[in-house]
Amino acid sequence: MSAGLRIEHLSVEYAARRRLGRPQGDTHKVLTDIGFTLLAGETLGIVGESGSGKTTLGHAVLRMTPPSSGRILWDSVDLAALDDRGLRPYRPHMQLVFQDPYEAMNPRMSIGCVIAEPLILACGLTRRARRIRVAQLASQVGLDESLLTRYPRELSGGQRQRAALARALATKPRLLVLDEPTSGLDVSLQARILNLLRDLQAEKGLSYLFISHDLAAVSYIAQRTLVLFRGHMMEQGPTDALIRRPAHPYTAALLAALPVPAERKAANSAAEVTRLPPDPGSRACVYYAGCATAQPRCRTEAPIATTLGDDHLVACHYPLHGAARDF
Amino acid sequence: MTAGEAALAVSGLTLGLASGHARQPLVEDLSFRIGRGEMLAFVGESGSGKSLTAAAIFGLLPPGIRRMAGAIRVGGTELTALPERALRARRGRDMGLVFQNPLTALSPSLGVQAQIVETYRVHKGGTREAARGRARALLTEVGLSALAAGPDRYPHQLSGGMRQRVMIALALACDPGLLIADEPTTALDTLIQVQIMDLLTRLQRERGLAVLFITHDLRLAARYADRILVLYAGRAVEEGDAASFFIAPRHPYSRALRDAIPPVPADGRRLAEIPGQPPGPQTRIEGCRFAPRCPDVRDDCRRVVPTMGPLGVRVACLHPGAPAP
Repeated sequence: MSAGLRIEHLSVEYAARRRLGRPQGDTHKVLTDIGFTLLAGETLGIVGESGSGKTTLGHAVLRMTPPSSGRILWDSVDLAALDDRGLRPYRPHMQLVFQDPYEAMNPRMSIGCVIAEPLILACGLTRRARRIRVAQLASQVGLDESLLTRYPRELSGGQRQRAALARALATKPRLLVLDEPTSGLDVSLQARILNLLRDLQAEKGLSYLFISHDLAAVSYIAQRTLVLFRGHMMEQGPTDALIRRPAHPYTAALLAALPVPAERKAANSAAEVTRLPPDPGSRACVYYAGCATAQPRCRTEAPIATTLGDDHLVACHYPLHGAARDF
Repeated sequence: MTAGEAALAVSGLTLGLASGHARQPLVEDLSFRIGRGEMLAFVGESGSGKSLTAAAIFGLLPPGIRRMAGAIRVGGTELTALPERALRARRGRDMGLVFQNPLTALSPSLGVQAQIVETYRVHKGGTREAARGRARALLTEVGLSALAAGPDRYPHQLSGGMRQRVMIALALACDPGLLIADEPTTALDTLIQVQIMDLLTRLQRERGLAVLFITHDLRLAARYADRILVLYAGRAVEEGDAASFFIAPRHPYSRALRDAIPPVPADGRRLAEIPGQPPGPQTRIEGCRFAPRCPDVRDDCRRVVPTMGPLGVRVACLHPGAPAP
């Protein structure tokens, strides 16, 4: 197996309440027992709604959020077991691109400085070598060199996202965590950024963790997809199989909600389910309240992930069979 | 569309900066109608003039931007001739507005039922009791029967989808004939998005409501609207039946927009890109405004300004693609 990223039983929890700076009482589980493998040069799509823990997952992989348990294996080294100092040599390997590049840039630094900053921190180049490298990075992402002296507010949304990508590529990473990189962009710009990401990947053999709520963007860019719901893995597998034959009712609901122009006003595409959510302490499936096909067993026993073959995993007692939808 | 008076009829609307000169208008010569019980979707990228047009209909243009020409008729009344006082009475009563972010549009310090009561009484008067009954009926109508029966709640206690439902109930408080929904689902999760759009289409049908649905999502527009109007750089470029639109858009810009959307499941093809970027208001372009980015541009496109033509042939292009079969 080519070197890549392997996540095993990863959980993240936050203290539910803090008093005088100290955690009090229960913890709040944000991610529960997540596992996946991301091969070099591949893209894994992480799909979920707000609050599903998809951003936390990206941050946990980069050790920006401390995991409470589990392993983060990078080249067979467990990053979860390292302290800050031990992590330092691995930091340049993996970079994060935020949804809103404007929020992630110092408004008082020129775009050139924004891109150069990681080079100063991680690569120790001379000023001259840095300037050459910044120009090279800018041309890789299709950012006009004349924009390097501008400030973030002077750039359009698409240009800013290119600058953010250039900065992320500065340390020659092998893994990029892309957190909703195209959500704030118009369709025509989204298409360009998605194409650019594909080109960069083909050119450099990058691995992407592509976090998005948009199944269409994920289906375009990710070979494999993992569906999250309230911090639990619902389903993961090859994107094409997952979209053509969703096994989890939640995946099927997400797909049904995707506006497909051909199916006009398909009534009740997402019927409102009024079942009460299970108590936090109960053993019920987390998707029980919203599930269209829930059975009594789902209220008393949480499903564990089982394989459907072809690397296709589903956490459901009653996975759907056959094509849920014709395309 | 019904015969006779449309719920909303806009003709020749032109909006521009109040100061400065020799600049392109922000919205130019825009004409469209929405009949009772009909949903028209405005589709376009940011800066195309969608929201500005909605603001003009409401008489709520931002400072520095003014209406330079055009007529706006809502339910048969010409709004542009009305003084501010009379216009204020009509906002909310004859036309309702739903924004993208209900949390900034709702008052954080007042219960949602109380906000509907207040709106209703400002426009229609009547007793507090009557208004309260009306508020409960509205909340039930938008699928919030639990809120209608229980104690009043503040917006922060509700989920994003519930807030947007409250926003819709508020917009409908005085039975307007026209509802303008400006990106009503953009901030919502996929599953909630569908519920809100289903609700809007149900209200449109049950109440005979005319809806102007503003969105950047061509797929949503094609799935829910009756007709689609595509805007580019302040000009209407194509208007057509929503059902056939996605299959056979005729304007090169509409086609480019459609081809930039990733298909599900993926078909292995590279997404089409539109080169360049939309012109800003400072850029003066002779002829068709899309010509500098158009893949099918010809010589005359840079000289002649294409117009939408009469009803029926609604595409502003000198060399449009073939019509839908």
